[in-house]
Amino acid sequence: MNRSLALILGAAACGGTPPPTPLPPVGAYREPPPPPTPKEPLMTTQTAQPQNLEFPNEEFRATQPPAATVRPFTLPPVHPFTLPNGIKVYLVEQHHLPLVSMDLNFDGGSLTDPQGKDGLASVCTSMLTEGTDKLDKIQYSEALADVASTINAYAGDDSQGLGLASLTKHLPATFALFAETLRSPGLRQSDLDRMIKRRIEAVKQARGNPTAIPGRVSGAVLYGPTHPFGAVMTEQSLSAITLADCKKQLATWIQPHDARLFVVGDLTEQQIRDTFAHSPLATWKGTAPKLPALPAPATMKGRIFFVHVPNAAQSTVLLMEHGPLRTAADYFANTMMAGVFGGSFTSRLNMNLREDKGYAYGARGGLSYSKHYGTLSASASVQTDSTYQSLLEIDRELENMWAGQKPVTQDELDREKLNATLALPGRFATAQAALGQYRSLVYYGLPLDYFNTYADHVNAVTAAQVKQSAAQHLKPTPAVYLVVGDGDAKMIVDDPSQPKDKRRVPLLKDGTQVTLRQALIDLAAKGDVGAGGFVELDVDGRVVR
Amino acid sequence: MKALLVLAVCSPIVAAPLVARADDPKLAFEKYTLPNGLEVILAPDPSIPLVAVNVWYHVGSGDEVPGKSGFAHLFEHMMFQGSKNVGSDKHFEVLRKLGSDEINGTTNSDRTNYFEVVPANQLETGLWLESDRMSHLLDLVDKDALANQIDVVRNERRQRYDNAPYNKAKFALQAALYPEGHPYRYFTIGKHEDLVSASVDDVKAFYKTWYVPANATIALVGDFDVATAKQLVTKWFGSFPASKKPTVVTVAAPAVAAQQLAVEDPFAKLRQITFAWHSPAKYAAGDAELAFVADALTREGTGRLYKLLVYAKQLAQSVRADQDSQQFSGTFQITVDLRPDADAAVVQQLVLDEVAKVTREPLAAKEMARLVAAQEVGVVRGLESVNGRANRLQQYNHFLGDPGKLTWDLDRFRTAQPEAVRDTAAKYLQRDRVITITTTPEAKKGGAK
Repeated sequence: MNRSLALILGAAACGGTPPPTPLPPVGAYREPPPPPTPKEPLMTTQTAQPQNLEFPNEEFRATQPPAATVRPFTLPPVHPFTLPNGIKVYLVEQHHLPLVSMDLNFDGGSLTDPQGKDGLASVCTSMLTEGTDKLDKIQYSEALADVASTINAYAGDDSQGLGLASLTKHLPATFALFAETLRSPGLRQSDLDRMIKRRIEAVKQARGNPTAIPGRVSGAVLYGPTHPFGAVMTEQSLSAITLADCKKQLATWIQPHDARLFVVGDLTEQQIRDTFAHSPLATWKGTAPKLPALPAPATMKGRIFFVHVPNAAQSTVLLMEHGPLRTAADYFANTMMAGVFGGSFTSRLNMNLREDKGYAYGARGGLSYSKHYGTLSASASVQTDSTYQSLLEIDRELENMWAGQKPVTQDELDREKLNATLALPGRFATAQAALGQYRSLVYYGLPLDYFNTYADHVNAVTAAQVKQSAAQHLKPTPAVYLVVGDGDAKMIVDDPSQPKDKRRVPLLKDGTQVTLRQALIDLAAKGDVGAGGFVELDVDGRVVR
Repeated sequence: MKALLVLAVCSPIVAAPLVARADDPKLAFEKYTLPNGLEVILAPDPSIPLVAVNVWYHVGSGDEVPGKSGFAHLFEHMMFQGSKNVGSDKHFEVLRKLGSDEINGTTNSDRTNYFEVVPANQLETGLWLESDRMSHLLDLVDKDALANQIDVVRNERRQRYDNAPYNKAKFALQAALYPEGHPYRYFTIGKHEDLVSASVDDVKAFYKTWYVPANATIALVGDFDVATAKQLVTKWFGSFPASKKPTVVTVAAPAVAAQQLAVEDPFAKLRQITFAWHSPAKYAAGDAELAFVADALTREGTGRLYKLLVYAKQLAQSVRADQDSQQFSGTFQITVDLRPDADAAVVQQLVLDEVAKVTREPLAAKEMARLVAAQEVGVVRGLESVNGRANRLQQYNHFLGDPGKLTWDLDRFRTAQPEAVRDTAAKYLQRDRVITITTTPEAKKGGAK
């Protein structure tokens, strides 16, 4: 090191430890004292000056250099095997870093929550890491922290589970805790009480947070408030959860047979088998029931849904509709199509809302999946006054691709195909990432050798197939909009006939500038983005208007 | 490292002996400097056919001058808008066609970085993109492109700061810690008024001052042949003119007296109290020691304040602490989200009592050991990806002048002494220097119903 490192705090911070100063009285806040007067000038301004450099522009800079020879790439393999108690293991070995991660994943999750107890799976699964029958929460946390390991519990829509991360050398200690967590969790009433209280406060926090509200209510809009994916966690639903409920939930779903154990790291099949055989999990047996069938989604009636957040500094605009499944025959065409629509920085949504209009920091859209559903969505957090125009732009991008006014061009399709095939090594770049890819195949019931033919499938996609995909899956008609923002804010519209810096002009009605709420009401009434009308919701997704 | 840091008046904690640890991850690299001043770091790793192309410019928001807050970050956005040979707004498109998914730039107070992870056979395109914006950016900078990115950055600020709870307190706290004119006062994102006033001339001057080859370091990490990579770096960057490394003037943090501030926040539903002190700069003496204090106080499950406030007394929803160190100086902060029925004065007293305790008594060996273990694991995990490794090499190079400081960094933690932690806490975490700021939910108007 050729330079000195030192403290840069002002001299006043130095000079030894002063005698203890009395604590200022607490209680009512006092007026803050005037800002301190610095003893020396604090502000030094930078003195560096521009350098006028002449950069050469050799001819070779004019064009993108050609690719070198492709380096060979083999997908890191996944190794599946089954333990005696029926746990299906998927192992990606990685021996250059001394790390192990495991995730034991069970069917279950929020779709098993009884009505009126929304949040049950999530709360009960979290109870697993509140300690064991031998260790309370603090002792449990200390045991893990001492070896820098983590054990985390989680619940999603249709599964729940328990994961661990550890240095290889600390796996025995960590796994012992992992096994105890599963077999003899503490499940103490006092821990449940504390957790419910914290969750209730978190619900209140989410209600006040403009950026958390869309996620809170979007499921209710798309699936309907009585569907398991539309249920909204509230104080009431959380308060209804009892310790008996949790014991039952965990006993029902935390069962080894057909559970999935995803392992990545510095470990072999034999080591995993031995680890289980020499743990309390060796005698663990049991089978969980089949997941209940899901009711049909019942999208709420309406076209434009709106949640008013006074003084919101921006608005969220979210388009949603049901889309094709992950396992659909046209999956590859759908992926290319969705990539052009909103899948990356270069997509139409982002290039429009960000790079052309400047309404948003970013905009994305596309297809997402769960086991039972596919969803088409597009969203952006946009400048408040541009909320109305942003909704129109999203609608226009959808309509243009769907109806074929602006079909996917060959260049766009080629770009997405190149990306999908050439990005494969990057998606398997770490053992953790590779396991994530395989995990997704397991989740959707796709074969583990799926990626061997992935590039062939992508390359076979034709422009006609992508056009067909857009016509089928970008239908503006069943789409709904959810807007979360300040309903009293004044709106602008885009006037493309104006010069670039004067295109934002007031949205006027009878000579006055229209507010967001009114603009959405009028738009819904006109039916320009489809029939169904305007619906105002509260932050729990209940209709207020 | 860009700054000539001023030696402190008082002597730092005794330097730790440097003990190389056999099982630390090895980060082999080669570093050299081109005649024009550009630094090059090469770290080949053939295990996967990818290369991280990662450029650090040794300029951040800490180098902004009064009235130009947010400019370093706004400028970073302009670096993606196009350069003479690449063309306008083509950067992401070119890379998407190569199958590159990990593309970005980030700005903080100390440096600005740009990276793309490309397939190994496309290394040269990464160098083409980076060399063109290092040399021929201004050809495509115009009023419209700048106006567009001013809108984008202001929307970034609205999305990430203005529209989220508890950020009003963060800005107010920053203003209490740093006087008007100090480059840390408005955070890296800057204030709206300054962003709007940015001009094309500002862009040109900033580029010519700070984005010269001698103020940049390019790191390549991944699957490449070293000799070929050197030839390519010379081809794309070697003919650039000689430049001088701009000098950074260190801006000191002022001494502050204890203050209690309060803000109302329309988006907040729970009260929150933050306690903040000025603290040592990154890697400076005392920096690691205060990280031990933060960990011992608030690590979930084991931290003293976690156990007291969240677990036992249940006065808090959560508590966290951080020694957040930057190039010129740092801050040590403790933040508590209060339960609705908690008495704020009681919580404040409990927090300050626990802080006082770490200024009087050394931490237990077990408490020290937990952070050491967490640091070791964290470093290993951060090295899994090629770009993670590139940033790690760049980080040590930027701050310490040597990419190979990983073991030195971990040794800061391994060799830290409980008494030194106590003494550091006593020196910085004084009661007459703490800024306390309370967020209260806005009484009537504002926020969602």
